[in-house]
Amino acid sequence: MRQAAGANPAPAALAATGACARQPPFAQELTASLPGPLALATDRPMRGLALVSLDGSGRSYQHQSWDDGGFMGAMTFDEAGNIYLAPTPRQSLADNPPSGATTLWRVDGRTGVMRPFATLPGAASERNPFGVLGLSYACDLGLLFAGTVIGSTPSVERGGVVALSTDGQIRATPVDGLDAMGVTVVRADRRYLLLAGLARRPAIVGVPLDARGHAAGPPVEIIDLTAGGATASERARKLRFANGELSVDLVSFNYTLQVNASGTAPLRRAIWRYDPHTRHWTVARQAEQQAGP
Amino acid sequence: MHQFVRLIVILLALGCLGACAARPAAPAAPARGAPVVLAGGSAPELPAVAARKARLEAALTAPPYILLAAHTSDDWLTAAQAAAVADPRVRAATRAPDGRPLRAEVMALGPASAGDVPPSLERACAAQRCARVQIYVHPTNTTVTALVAADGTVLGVDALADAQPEIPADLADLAVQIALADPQVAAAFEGLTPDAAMATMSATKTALETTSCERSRHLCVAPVFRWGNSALWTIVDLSEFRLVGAAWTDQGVSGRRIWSEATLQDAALASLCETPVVLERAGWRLSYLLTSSDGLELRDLRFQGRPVLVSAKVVDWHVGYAGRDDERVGFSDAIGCPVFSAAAVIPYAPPQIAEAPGGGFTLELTFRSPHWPQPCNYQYVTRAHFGPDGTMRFLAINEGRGCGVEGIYHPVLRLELPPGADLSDQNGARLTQEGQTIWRPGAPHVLQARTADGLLALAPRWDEAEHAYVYWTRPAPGEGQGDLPSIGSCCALDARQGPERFINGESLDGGAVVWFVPRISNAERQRCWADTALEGGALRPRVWPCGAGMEITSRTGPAGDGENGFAQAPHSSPGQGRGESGFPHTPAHGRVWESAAIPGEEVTPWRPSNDVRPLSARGAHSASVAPASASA
Repeated sequence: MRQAAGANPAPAALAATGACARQPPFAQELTASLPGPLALATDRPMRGLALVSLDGSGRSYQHQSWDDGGFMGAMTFDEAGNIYLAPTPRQSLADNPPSGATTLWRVDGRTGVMRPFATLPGAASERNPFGVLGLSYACDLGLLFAGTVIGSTPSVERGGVVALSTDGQIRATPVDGLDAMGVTVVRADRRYLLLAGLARRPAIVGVPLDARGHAAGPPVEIIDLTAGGATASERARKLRFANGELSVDLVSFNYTLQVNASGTAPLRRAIWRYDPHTRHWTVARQAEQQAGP
Repeated sequence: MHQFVRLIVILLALGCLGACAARPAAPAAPARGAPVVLAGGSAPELPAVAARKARLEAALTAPPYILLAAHTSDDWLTAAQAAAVADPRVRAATRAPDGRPLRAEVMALGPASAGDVPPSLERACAAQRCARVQIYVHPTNTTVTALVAADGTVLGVDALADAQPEIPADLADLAVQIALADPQVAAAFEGLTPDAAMATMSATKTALETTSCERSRHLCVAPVFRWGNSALWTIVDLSEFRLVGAAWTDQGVSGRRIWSEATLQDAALASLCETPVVLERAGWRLSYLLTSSDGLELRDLRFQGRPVLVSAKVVDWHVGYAGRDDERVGFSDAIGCPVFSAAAVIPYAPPQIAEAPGGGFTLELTFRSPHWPQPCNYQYVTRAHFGPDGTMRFLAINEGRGCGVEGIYHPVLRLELPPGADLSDQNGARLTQEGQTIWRPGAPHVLQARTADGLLALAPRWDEAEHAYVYWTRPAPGEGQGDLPSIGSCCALDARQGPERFINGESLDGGAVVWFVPRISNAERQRCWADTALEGGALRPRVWPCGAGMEITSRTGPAGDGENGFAQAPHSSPGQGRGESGFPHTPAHGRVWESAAIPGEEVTPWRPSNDVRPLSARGAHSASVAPASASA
């Protein structure tokens, strides 16, 4: 992987590509029994996905299919309100056996039913029970991007970023052999830039994409997360780009269940701002702890 | 002695930094046979450390109970410091809830720059000079910043949790001294002859980088000794005045901060997950390896050449609590490798090997949740004692803290006997098929195994256990010879602890595995418990451990028919205090820490829109809205 010499390979101004993502229609009926604001969450005590009320009542809703895939982690929406989810083991492999780690799930935005969506190539194992650690839907491309660490070992990185169409077919693998977590795609005029948080280092790489989601160049490191206050053990697990700012959720990750199992780790977030004139990313806000759910 | 000589060499060499500037440029970087080392854990006996500790202790004995900045020539800054530490908000941030002072020190004192002043105070600080007083509170890992006007008015106080300040020059110097004083750093320079070291240190530059002690949440800095394109990173804990560890990196010149307390610890232990370490001592020979989820596995144990066990490990820790409606809830905690594993609780330091009182030695490894001893975080210890008489004790120990006061622990111990071992009960009756039983303290329980090389006796070590489920099964690859995923129920109060699933009528003619699953109930501040105590201004864990295990005694020579060859098994009762886990102690690290979110998952909040049809029109849902469980 090349190192950026302080500059970003992307041209000029950047824009988000996920603005079309829509909230799932099926949830509308639930508003009567679950007073808003509501949230879809995978970080609650119950397995899988839950629709929770944030009004302090502690009330929640879970469709009977939402725990079929064990504990879930990354989540994103498409323009139809479909929800894409990736399994993430929490306390033990009893609920998330390695055989299920490579399967992505989709909750139908109309019916609320969750079913397997796609199974990615490769296999998880007890030494690396993780599969997909980041999801992001790029509306402009109509593609779901998944950051993976599937099959990686201490000495070999087999993860990367794959792009799937909404029929579950893999359309491109813009990053290969580089373990990735959080991902997002930004637009620069008619070109696209994939941003991927690395799973082994506190860094974010950028990969230019063509209109079909294929890499148009090699990964280039564009952000050193430690400059924004990340510790050496923290990684970018969730990336959100809006209004010229990249919000980065940080998590300690060492390919074990330790952090997820403890249930008490903080969510820390740092923000970088993209300057279209200098084409540099600068720290807009140092990493700081966010309020829990 | 050898290390001491190396240390002298390094000190001389680093002392030569200026004077030797005219010497030839550095040759190749030092040898790096062990790129990561973890330090021993104690503070070096340096005069500067002793002086610093004395100042901190003295500060805790009299108001304002905060170690003030050493000297300032500006009276108005001295007055500002005095005003800041007297402010009630600062006092509140530097005291425990019961009012006792926490260890705190002024790290920065100076005129406030424009960037230090928030918009709300710009006018006040434009009218007169303002001072910025920055205080670090060690036990809470909090940085308190006070802005004080020249007239002594404290304009604002901001306490930022989990934030560490820039450190003053005297602390930076102290950090470098601590790094150089540690034998581990000296060892890291191995490969240099004294002459070469002295000649090449002119190419070495020292810098102080920021780093994190994200596990201990102590104040840490990283003196970095750059050597051409390589650099020796050292991490120094300025809360404990000790070296955390050191590592070589090829990226020293880039300034990338890839090393922290956690990454050092993980890197130092990673090799133990790949390659077993052979240990020969006191007549014993064995190897040990960190597994993915079965903790520390001891393999091929032999005493004076005779096989004792093929394997010993703790495959699970079942932790159960009483839930609502007579349900039981809890966890199956897997312990194992700190990187690339299915472990939920991991070690932070390598196994410890020590002389044992009365002879022999102990081998133990501690596994810890990240926020132990906070509630719902756990610490487990696997301990083996190897006696000079061929007796081996294998113990599973819990050190709290658990999620409640009605916790019940069931560690699952797996002991694989030498191939071909004939198993029999305490009466000498052969156990020819897989089976299980329950043992209770006070009865002469023992299993005997006849091997080609002699006899083995396996007896319970009760310590704090109330009873134990015992299973004997035929060895099988999928039944623990490799890494075993979580088995059994986390919360069952009966024999459904996992090994029972391997009992399917097979004969034991191919050897035997003995599973020992003691039941241990926790009790607040009595056993299986941990808490924190304020000592000398610092919060330190206090532990009330509990544990149980098995004792394996080996004896040479065949036994006659009907003769078991062993004395009666101990009739001990639980909680007698004679156990190896029954004494409270206070580990060096640990910190109170509060948070709520579980990382790795996410929440996507939204407010429902009005452009959707009601669900009832589709009839898609059968589940109902139910109260959520307690917040994560």
